[in-house]
Amino acid sequence: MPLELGPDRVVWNLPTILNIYGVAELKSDLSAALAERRDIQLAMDNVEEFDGAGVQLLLAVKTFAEMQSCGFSVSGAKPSVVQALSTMGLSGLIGEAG
Amino acid sequence: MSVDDALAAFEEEAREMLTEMESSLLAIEGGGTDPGLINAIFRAAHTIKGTAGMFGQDGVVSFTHHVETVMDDARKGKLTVSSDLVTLMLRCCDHMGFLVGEGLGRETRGEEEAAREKVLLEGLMSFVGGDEAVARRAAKGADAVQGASTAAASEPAVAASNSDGDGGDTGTPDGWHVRVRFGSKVMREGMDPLAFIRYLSTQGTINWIRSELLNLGAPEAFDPENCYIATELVISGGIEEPTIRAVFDFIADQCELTVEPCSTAWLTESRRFPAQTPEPAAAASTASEPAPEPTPAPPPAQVVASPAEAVPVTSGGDDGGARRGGGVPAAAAGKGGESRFLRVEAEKLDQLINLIGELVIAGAYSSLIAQRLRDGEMLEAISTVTGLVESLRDTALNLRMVPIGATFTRFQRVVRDLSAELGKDVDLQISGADTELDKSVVEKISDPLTHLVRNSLDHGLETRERRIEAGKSTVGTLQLHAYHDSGSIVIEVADDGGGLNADKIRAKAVERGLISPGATLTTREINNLIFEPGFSTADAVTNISGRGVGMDVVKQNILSLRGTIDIESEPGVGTLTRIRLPLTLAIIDGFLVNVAGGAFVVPLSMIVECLDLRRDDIETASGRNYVNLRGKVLPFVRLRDVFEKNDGVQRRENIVVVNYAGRMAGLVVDELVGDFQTVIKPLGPLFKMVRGISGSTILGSGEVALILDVPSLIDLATRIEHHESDRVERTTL
Repeated sequence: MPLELGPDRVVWNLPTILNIYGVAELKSDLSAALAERRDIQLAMDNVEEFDGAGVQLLLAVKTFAEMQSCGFSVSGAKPSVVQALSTMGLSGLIGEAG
Repeated sequence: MSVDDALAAFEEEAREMLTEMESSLLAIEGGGTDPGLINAIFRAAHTIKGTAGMFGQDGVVSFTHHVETVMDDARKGKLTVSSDLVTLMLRCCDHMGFLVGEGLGRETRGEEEAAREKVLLEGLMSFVGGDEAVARRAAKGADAVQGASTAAASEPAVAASNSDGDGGDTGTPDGWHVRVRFGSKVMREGMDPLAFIRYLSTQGTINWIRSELLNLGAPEAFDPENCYIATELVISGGIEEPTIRAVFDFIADQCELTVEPCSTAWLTESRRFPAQTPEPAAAASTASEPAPEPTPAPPPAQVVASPAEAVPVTSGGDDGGARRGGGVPAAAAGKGGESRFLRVEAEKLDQLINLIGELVIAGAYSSLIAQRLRDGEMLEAISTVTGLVESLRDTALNLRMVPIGATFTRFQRVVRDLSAELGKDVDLQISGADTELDKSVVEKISDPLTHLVRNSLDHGLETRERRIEAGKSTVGTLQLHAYHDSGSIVIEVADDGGGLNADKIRAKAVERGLISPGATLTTREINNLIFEPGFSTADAVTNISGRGVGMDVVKQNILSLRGTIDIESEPGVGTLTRIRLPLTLAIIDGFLVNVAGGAFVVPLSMIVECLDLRRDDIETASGRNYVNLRGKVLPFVRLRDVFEKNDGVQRRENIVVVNYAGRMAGLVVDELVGDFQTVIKPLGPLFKMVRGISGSTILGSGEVALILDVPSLIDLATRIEHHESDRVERTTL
């Protein structure tokens, strides 16, 4: 299951492909995660393919979580993901991993 | 798309761009004054550099950077494109081709290549006027090369950049404040914002950067495939404004881009840009907040800002973002399906054609069963299906049709280089470049054509002196012409050179034992002897010296494509070599005939008419193999005799009148069956030497039918009638 419910947070296990070819399929998971109205942790251990669409999704999840006054964190990001975020000036997303 | 696929796409695109560069350069050299040509060269170089950057091909990036710089001057009118520059650029194209191969691990750099690169770089530098400019560009070039290679490995030191201008030079911009707001369709159309920013970061030093999402809206309305990204950054390190703008050229109409200069002091200030994340509730009001001087930020309706980065970005990484890079510049494989073209692997098309071939055969079988059952309704249904299958077949075959223009264009370079080498002035004239033929044929025709073109240049066209002596223009003409003619494509290579010397060819052929001394041959037949194996003319005749070298190989290549080759020549006037090829190698419309119980297929495009062979006709001919076709002599061959098929049953005979390349003959068969979609299956190597047959096919019943090689049968019919020695000729068939 992509979503794991914890006592204080929902952990969203992102798939291997987090690029333009895969992001549309994640819309329902995003809605489900936000519906929990808990802190969201993006588990990126499996993510291997990552592009601008992936960057955008991460930033969008963070934004939506904050709109609900919920926390946001990222875990398990591989170096390639970290580097992509850094390229776009978004290292702070990883920095908040909890 | 896997990394390998993306790399293959990159290579293909790079090669296409190099070809485009080359043809534009040659067009300029040929007198072309269209500014679009210079732009095309610049854009091609820019595309190669951009795509190579996305794949971490630093060697290509750094070299092409210099090519691009020179061409940028040219397109701005600062530099005249001289013949020397064209020559240098053509060599640069070759070297870029090598660098692409090197980046993909196909080529290895040796001393020669390294030296060549050095010479080319020096050459490029020399095209920028003024000692000062040369020195400045040389230094910058070195920096760029160094920058590109170090950027891939480590983070550039921002502190060094920021302290660069502390000397107080505030008059010239030390850096640029760049804002780019990507259009909503950018990602859907195959572009990746990440790839653009990554590439930009290889062009200079990013001092500060942040990205945000604009007009994000509520979660329900969020479409992950729409692009909401806007990025703002400060870049320095000697980069110029056009270079920054050029990075976004491919999405110029799909993004809002502002590039503003900023001075050293401002650059230093930029490190103190707001780094806070605005409260979500206040997001809509942050629109003007991030705007550093000197201009305000774009006015988004809603801004969700990210934490600003006070650290420089790394570049040249190999993360997933680059994997879609193969399609980035051309947007050829846009996800949104709005692009006009799709790149499809040729292999997939081959599979489709094969499947349609099987469908045709299965359809023929269904048709056969329906006919046997005599079920009218089923026959009607089958007829509809057959019609659809035919349309499907034609559409699928059409997918593989490509214009021959790209192949022809290659010869501009061959002609240019070889004519310079030989000291001859040659005007290459190309016509019919839009003529289409099957991709597999195009690929296989390239080598024989190259051979013919080289031969024409080397041995056909005379030197300047000889042309003057002959009263000709000093500029020789070489023509490449393509056109469609009755189900075939015809490619002609013509020159206005010295022509073939038939007497000397004949003498040589006699000497080599190819013909008997007393043989009666037309001039055309004599000229075509140069295609015979062993007819090495290197030492044969002065004005055609070498024309026979490898010409037999050329002919073999053409024959293997089920084509024919023919040569016409007039001494002192020129030579024309005509290649005739089938449009496709896969499926044709055929006409099924029976001969002594065996099924044969005649390509329908070559059939003129079918006649009843009457006893009167045979008697009138007094035993010779011809009939009177409305006042004209029509030679014929009996397929029973040709293939030695005689079942002893005497049937009524029919003549199928065929026409190929303006020559007509009759094929005498027993029974005319009718139209038949023919899926061409190759003959095995065992049948390679069997003439009169060009392939095989499978009938609906599972029976094998042989496809007749009409050109060789017409040859045979003509020869038999000419020499009245059918028995002798039959044994040689």
